[in-house]
Amino acid sequence: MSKAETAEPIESKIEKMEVVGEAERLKKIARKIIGEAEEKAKSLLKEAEKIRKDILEQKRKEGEGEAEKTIRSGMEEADSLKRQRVAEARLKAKQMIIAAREDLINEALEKCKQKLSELTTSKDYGKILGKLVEEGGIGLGGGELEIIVPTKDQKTTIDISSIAKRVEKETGNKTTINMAQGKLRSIGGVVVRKSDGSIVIDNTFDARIERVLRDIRMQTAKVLFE
Amino acid sequence: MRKVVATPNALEAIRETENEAEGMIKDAKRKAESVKKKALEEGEAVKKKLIDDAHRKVSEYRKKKEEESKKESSDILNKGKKESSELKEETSSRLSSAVDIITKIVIGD
Repeated sequence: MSKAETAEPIESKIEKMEVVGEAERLKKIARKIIGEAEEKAKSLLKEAEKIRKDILEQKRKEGEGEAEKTIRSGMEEADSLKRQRVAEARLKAKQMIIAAREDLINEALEKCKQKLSELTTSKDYGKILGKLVEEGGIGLGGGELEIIVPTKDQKTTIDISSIAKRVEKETGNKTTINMAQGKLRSIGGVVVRKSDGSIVIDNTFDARIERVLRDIRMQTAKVLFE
Repeated sequence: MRKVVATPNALEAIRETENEAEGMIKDAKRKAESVKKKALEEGEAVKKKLIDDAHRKVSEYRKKKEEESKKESSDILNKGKKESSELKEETSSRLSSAVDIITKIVIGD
């Protein structure tokens, strides 16, 4: 601040000194100069105090705003993480039940294969095999047919001529059925084919299981879980 | 116009007083600057504390939610295990019926 701003012009002060005694006048001028300076200093400090309050208020507001934002986003994130974990657990629990169901269906299928395997040594197996040959023969439309059975079942008695007659009757085509040589790996059942090998119907148990697997699964689930 | 007369001593005294006044104002300005600087520091500290408190709150909340989710997930998984186990027990008696049905389907009965 310049001198001109702190006090009135020197000439004016000196002029006033003429009115009273110089010492008194000097004191008066000094008091005025100091008084003005004090006022100015007071005003500066008052303004600084106001600025201090403003700064504190502004920083507090900034802090509160940022804190609120932090809390809101942090809480949302934590809630979302919790929801995600619980959802994952629900999914896992659901998968456990699905796996348990699948295990049961597979167990039923395995037992079925075991039963089918046992069936191949039963006295009824010849009839079952005959039925599978007939079904295959009809499916092929009769004609010159060959059948292949698993090596272990080759001693099973099948009434081939009766089956051929039934196929012939069903299809209207003259039918002959011969036992072909060949190795067949299967639990049981039969492969029926045209003698020229042009068409094959795989009526082995394994192939039939594969073909009706979807149906088997549905039926098994129905029996087990409904 | 009046003629103004002042002794050199008087002029000197006035200049000294003016210097003193100027010093007072400079001092007040320094104090004011110091007040502002401190206010900025204090304000930053207040702001930092509020933000730190918020982070602490969030951390506590997150911890709480983690514990809740662990417990809920564990309950859900245990329930799932129990249901799976019960399912196996309940259906074991129906397994042979299912095997019969599958066998019939396969042999085309």
